[in-house]
Amino acid sequence: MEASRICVPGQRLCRVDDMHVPGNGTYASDGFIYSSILGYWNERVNSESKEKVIDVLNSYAQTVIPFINAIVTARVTNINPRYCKCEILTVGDKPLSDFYRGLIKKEDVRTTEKDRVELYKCFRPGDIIIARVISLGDAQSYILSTAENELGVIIGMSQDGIKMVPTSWCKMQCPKTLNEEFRKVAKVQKEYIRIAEHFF
Amino acid sequence: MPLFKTFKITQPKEYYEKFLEKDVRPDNRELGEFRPTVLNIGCVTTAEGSSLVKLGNTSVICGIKAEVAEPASDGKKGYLVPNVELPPLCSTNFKPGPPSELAQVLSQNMVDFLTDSKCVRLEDLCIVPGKLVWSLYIDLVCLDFDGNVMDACTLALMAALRNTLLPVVTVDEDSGEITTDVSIHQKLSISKCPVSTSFIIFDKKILLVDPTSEEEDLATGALTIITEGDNLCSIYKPGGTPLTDTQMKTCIDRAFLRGREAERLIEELIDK
Amino acid sequence: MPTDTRRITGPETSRSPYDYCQIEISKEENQNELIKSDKKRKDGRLAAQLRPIFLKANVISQARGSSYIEMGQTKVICAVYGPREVMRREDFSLKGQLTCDFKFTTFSCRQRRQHQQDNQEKDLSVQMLEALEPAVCLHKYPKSQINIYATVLQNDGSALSAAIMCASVALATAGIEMYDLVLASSLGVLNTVLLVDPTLQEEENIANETGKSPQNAGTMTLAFLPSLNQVSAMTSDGQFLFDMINKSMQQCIENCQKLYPVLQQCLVEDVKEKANLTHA
Repeated sequence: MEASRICVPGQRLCRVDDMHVPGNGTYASDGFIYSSILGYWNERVNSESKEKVIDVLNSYAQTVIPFINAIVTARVTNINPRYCKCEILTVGDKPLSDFYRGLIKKEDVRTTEKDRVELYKCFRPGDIIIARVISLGDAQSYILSTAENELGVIIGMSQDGIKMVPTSWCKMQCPKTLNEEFRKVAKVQKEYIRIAEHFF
Repeated sequence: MPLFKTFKITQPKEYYEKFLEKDVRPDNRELGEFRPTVLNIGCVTTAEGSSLVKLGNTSVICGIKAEVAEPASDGKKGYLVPNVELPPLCSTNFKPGPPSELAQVLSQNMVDFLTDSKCVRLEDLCIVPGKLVWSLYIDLVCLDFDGNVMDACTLALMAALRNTLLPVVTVDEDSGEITTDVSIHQKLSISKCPVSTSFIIFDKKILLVDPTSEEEDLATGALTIITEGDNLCSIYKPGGTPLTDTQMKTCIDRAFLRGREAERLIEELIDK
Repeated sequence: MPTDTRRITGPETSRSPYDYCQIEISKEENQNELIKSDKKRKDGRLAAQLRPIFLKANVISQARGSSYIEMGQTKVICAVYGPREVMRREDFSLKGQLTCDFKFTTFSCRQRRQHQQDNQEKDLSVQMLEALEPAVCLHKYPKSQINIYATVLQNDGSALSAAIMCASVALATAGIEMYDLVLASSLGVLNTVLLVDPTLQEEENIANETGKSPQNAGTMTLAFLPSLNQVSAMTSDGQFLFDMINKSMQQCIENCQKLYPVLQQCLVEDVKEKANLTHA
């Protein structure tokens, strides 16, 4: 049964032809498709071209690094009037092997009234945010953006160190002191409500 | 469940609290439960004595190289030189280069462990008084850093000392010439078997024995108790959350229990 | 010698007790001793026979990928970390970086080694890197680094080839994209005798002969990508006659091909084991 065949890096899988093209975890060389990772052989049919795509998949040892357009989870580390620094924790739902540094510029925080953004009214150190990677950035950080309704702070800590409850798109409230603090709040997707109910 | 994983990374403390509420740890252990301990001796034949200890995932290899040296100021005392290495191999926390602060602390802990418990008498390492003594270089290399390296190190250290075989070295009285006879070996005389037991304090009240590295990262305090048979050798509590009398008593009782368990483990292995 | 303030130090000078042995172990250094009259070597192997290999993947829980290898008495453990952020501030690079760090533990050899990385270890780190780099798809890891740490727990010869294979398995289990696995094999040559997978003593005996006669006396390590049929690195010490180099390389490649199923088997087992764990 080919579906459960285990491949090692460098293993020759099949010929490249009109019907077979290399997919994830593979590469083509000299007219053949080779596996580039350790994992399982997988075939899928491309619905447009009707070609068979050969993948090698491994759910146990996925290496993931931030890429352009990826949705990432990050922890805010420090803020100044021009930008906010953070460490990227996960790409999608896949945890990174080590944290990467990210940076949100003032103009990438939200879509409206860009020039009136005050960063300290959007993020605070310790907040957990969801953001999109918009550029690989410089030698140091990836450039992130939260300029979408679904992006922004998902877990905000009040000044008393208590998890706050969102009250509007730009405010969160501390359940203990009832103080309101400003944040660029993410419009929470359904899946997050599910974990929220499960854990908090 | 990927969201579950994300929760663990973004909010590790809350993640742990959910488990501890039910008096269980994420790895299914009770609060006072040690991880499975695996002990192996004589695994490196280039060393005079060696051992490998696994505490759950944490593993430490110990190798003892014996060399001969002149004693300090014509005394009878030999040298014990323990060093703990935490190479970048064992965890993401360590970078290549000189020993990290933690490695230095652990090395000093090993010195204290050996001197406080007096398990090896330095006079026993004497070959010719005033002329020649043994110097035992004890190197403990952490291969997998998953918490409680202290207990793994002390266990590896004791097992390796018990495993050590020294060649017979003689000094000609007239010429002062040194000869080594590799055909006969002698054991070190070790009378005692001290054992360390480490705890961490979580969230200022809960005590966890044999912490993993995740637990150590969240700890608000740590405690190490060294016992030897029915005697208490030392208690090491470097700051952190203060403990009450009762808590201290519980820890000491737990340490005695662990001490006997570990001692039995070493004895069984040596008898083989 | 400057004192090391970060470590516990012993007496100022000390010597190995084996320096005072009356019968020098390594005095029997000629070809007749390397191969005994029954055509066998000291450890009972034939000249072209490899030592038994034990290979296990995933031995370090904290590492992304790891493995442990035993070739006779040579024992090497290897960990792979990353891809992770490049820490030192360097220029923006769309290609990933690979680093190798090769270390002998202090108790791995007959003579005690130092804690700091010495020149031999630095040399071996570079040789390891050169052997592995061509096999890794570094363009897939922009702005990132992949670190390989190899530690020799006991050295009984052919440590470099053991470390290269160990690292190659560790890279594969870490899920790093590679063009091929990397195999490696060492060889000692004295006059006309080829000794496959030499032990430390054989390596030392050959090194002692180097320069004493115009004949062959040297050791060679070759790294090989089996599926692509390419040699990624070749390094040799000592002196080789031109014909001998070709012959030796051929022999090394043959040995690598013999080892390929061992690595494949180890990796397949590893995948199966992980699948079982998640189902349980």
